[in-house]
Amino acid sequence: MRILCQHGFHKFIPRQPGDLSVFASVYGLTLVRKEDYYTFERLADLEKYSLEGLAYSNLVANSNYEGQPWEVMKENGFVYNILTGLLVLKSTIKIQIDPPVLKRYLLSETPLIQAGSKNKFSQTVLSYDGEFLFDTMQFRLNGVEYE
Amino acid sequence: MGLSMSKILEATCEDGIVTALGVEVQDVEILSEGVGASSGVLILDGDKAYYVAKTSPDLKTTLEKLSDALGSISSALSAIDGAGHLIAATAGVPGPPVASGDISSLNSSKGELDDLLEELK
Repeated sequence: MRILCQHGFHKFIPRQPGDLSVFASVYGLTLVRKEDYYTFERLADLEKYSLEGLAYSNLVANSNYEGQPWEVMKENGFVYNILTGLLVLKSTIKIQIDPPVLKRYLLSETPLIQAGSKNKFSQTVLSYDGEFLFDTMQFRLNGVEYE
Repeated sequence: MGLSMSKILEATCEDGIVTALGVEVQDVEILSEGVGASSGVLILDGDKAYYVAKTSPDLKTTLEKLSDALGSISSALSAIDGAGHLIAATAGVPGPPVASGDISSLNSSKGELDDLLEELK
C-alpha cells in the first residue's frame, strides 16, 4: 500500500483489496475514503481555504489561503499529529528520526512518520512517499522531502 | 487572478475593513472604493484575497433618485406651463402652453428609468 504524506497530510492508497482493512486493524487506525485515497477522519473534513483568525479544524488559521488542504496546512504551518489525531503547529513536534538506509531505500521503524520530525542533521521532514510492505510489515521510504 | 479554483465567500466592507465569516480579513485588496458600507464577496485565490462590492444597490438608488427628480421637474414645469400668461397687455388672453413637448419628453425618460428599475438585475 502506498502511503503518501504531503505537508503533514496523509494519504493511503491501497494496491490490493484488503490492504487498508489489514493495515487499519493492525495499527488501530480509522481511515475514511476521500476522492481517490483514504485518510484520517479529521483530514478528510478539512476546508480548501483558511482565513486568518478563523477556526481551521481544531486550530485558528494564521494566514489567508485558498488551495488543497495540504497546501493550506503548509501555508499555516500545521501538520497532523498521528498520536492525538489533531492538527498541531509543526514547530511543536519534537521527534527525532533516524531511518536506516537499506540499499537505495530508507526503512522506517514505524509505519508512519510524524511530519515535523527532524533527522540527525536537524532537517525537518515535511513530506514523504513510501510503500508499506505487508510481507515484512515494514515501511519502505521511496522519497523524503525536507523543509 | 485565476478564478477557476478560487473560494468565494459573502463579505461586507466598511471604512476599508472587510469582514467575512465573522472575522476581519487581513491583507485584502479592495476592488472598489471601499468608503461607504457595502456588501459583496471575498475572493480567495492562492495567497491573494480580494473584495468586490455588489454595486447594484448603488445603481438602484441612483436610478430611483433620478426618476424622482425627473418627476418633480416635470410636475413643476406642467404647473408653470399650464398657469397661462398674458401674451399681450391689450389682448387680455392667456397664451398657450409652450413647454408641453419638453414635459412629454421628461415624462418619457422617467418612464424608461422606471422600466429599468423594474428590470434591474
